[in-house]
Order: sequence, then structure tokens, then C-alpha cells
Amino acid sequence: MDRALDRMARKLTRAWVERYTLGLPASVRDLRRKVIESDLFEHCADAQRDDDPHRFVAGELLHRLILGIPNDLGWRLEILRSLPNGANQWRISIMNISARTMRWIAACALLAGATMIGARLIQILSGSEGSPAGAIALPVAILAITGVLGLYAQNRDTNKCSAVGLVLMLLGDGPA
Amino acid sequence: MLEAAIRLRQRGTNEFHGYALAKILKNSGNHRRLTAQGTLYRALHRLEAAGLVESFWEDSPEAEREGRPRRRMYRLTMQAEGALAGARDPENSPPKKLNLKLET
Repeated sequence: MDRALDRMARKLTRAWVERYTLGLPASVRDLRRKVIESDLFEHCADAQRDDDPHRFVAGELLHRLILGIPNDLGWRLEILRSLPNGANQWRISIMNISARTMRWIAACALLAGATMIGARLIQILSGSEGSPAGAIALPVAILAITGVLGLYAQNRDTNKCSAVGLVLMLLGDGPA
Repeated sequence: MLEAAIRLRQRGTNEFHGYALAKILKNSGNHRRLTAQGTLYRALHRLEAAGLVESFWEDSPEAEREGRPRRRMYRLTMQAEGALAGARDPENSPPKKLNLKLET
């Protein structure tokens, strides 16, 4: 079980590194990917040497992955900013997520979460046996509509792809 | 982070890889956030850009012999030693390059 979790954590880390290095110059991209691959190996080898049955390697790997995400994105931005003006500049603009956009996304997520909890509470209190999908559909719809409207407004105001661009980057914006 | 590198050198490790540094930072307790891969390698990248650290790939044969990926090795430069000495000595003000923001 633990081994499977370790493998999953390693896969997640690799997948994330591949995403945030997409579109960077090949030398920088390959260097970062190899460095992280080596780091993952050293971490797991260290855990094996430790031979501590209580050591939760997958948790350690995920902890290191998640806490580093803001700096991964910051590093990517630094690299892009250091490139000469030209084809890569649009990639910089998509990373410039304004505080307003972030607030909007957070508000949408909170609204959806609160609606979901409310819907579930009503379901429990009324004793109805409705399907869980029914309880989720409404908040998801609210999130989708408010989120899209908000991002549309943001993009119109700032003429930037902001958060949409970030999502595109995470989904893959071109060949590695 | 530089102090962690110094600690490694005091143990006889002049050249270190990222995970070795992360382990030192983790054991030091206060700097667990710095062990995150994104934070660690961004900080090393900045230190390298500031000329305080230099990096290179280790030789392939050694990695092949041990059956592992090649390590990216780092070592402190003379400039880093000077900067650290300056930072510890109140008579000498630390160079501004040391005021790098390494944590978010």
C-alpha cells in the first residue's frame, strides 16, 4: 500500500514538473526535470536506508510538492521574464493573475462549498433520499456560471488571459 | 540555506545535492518550508544567479555504478563565504545580495 502511495506521489510530482516547465527553453526545462527526478530518487533511497516503518514517504513527497507550488510558478515566471521579448511574452501575461481574479475564484469556491453544504443539510433535515449528484449539481452550476462570468469580466477589463491562461498551462499549452 | 551548506561542509561535504541540503534543513526544524522542492530549487537558482553557489552535473560513471540518476551538485563560492563572514561580523555590513527573499 505504502509503495503504491509512494509511486503515486512520485508520479504526481513528475506530472507537475512536466506541466510547469512546459514551453520553457529546452535547456532550462530539461535541467529542472532531471534535478527533480534525481531529488525524488534520493528522497526514496534515503527512506529505504532509514528503514523506519513509520516513515510516510508519500506524505513527505506530497508535502514537498504542494508547499513548493507557489515557488515553482514564481520560478517559471522568473525564467520567462529573463527571456528576450518576443514569442514567449504571452506566456508571461497568462501567469499574471491579479489579486482581483484570485479573490473572485476564491469567492466562487466558497459560494459553491457553502451551497453544497446547505443543500446536503436540507437533504438530511428533510429526510429526502435524493441522489448525491442532485445535491452537487446546483453548486457546480453556480460555480461554473459565476466563475466564467467573473473571468470574462476580468479578461475584458485587463485584456489578459490571467487565470484562464494558468488553466491552459496546467492542461498543456503545447508540446514539451 | 547558506548556513545549511556550511554545516554540510563542516561534515566534510564540500559539494552537495539538493536533497542533502533539504535533509539538513528539515533536521534543523525551523526551515521545513524550505525543503519543498519548488522553494529549495528556486532558492538555489537565485543563489547561483547571485554568484554565491555554483552548480554542475556529477560524472556519469559514478551515477551509473550506483544505479541512480545523475545528481546536480552545488558548492559554495568564495563570494558566499565572504558574504556569510560579513553577515556574522557586525563590523561589516552584509552585502545586499544576501537579502534574497527565499520564502514566499
